[in-house]
Amino acid sequence: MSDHVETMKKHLARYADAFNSGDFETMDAFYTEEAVAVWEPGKPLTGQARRDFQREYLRREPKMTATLRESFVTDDTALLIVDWVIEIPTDGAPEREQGVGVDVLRLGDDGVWRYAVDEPFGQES
Amino acid sequence: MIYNLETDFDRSNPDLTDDQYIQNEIFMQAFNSGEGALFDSLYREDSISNFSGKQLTGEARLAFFNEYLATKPVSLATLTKWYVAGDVALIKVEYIIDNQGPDGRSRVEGYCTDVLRRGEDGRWLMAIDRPVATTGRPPSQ
Repeated sequence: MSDHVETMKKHLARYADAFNSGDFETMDAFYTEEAVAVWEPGKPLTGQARRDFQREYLRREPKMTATLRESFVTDDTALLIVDWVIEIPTDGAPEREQGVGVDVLRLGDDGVWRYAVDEPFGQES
Repeated sequence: MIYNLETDFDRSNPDLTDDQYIQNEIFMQAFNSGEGALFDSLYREDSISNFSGKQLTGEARLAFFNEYLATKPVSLATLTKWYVAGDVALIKVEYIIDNQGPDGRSRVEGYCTDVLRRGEDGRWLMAIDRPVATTGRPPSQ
């Protein structure tokens, strides 16, 4: 169990680095082909619509810190509950968003965990 | 919401199907049956149930379901969200469970985050359940 927690903490750190790099392709490698992302509550996006939205979002140079709150890891499927804060630079004070994400990951045949469902506002508190 | 709790399913080889309403109906039927082994057959070998407040899998999960469901708790779950991404789905429900304890009935209300997986045989089964109680106490606490 503790090995799983370490694995998922490392995954989260790598994802945050990819997100904060601002490079969309680097971040997109963390998603499965069929992934669903719900970056705006009530608006699940998949495929090209998901990619277009996330690419556009990264152009605002958001910086994220994420902390693993809970993890449930089976042989090839995981559920993560994650506290996160994102700051987006503006002309004045940075815009700040925060939430509790609910993420489902799948382990690929290549041994890499990827997001199948990414729901940043998945839990209210 | 009207539930069809007579939804037919193969009790020897259950499939929660790709229909989120049928999933919920089969799940409630199996839970309310009081049969731990039947309910546990909705899970994969490596699936994790956090129902007890601990992450249980395999034999420990079956033992918990056997003991808990024998007390004949009754659940009612309402689907609130679902997302399907290939062979995995994230489902959220709000639930009410009426427990029959030695001290009488007690009600637990909360929400549950479930992950389902479609296996290589095409059947959808539970991979992870994570109930969170908002009022009342879960069975083991």
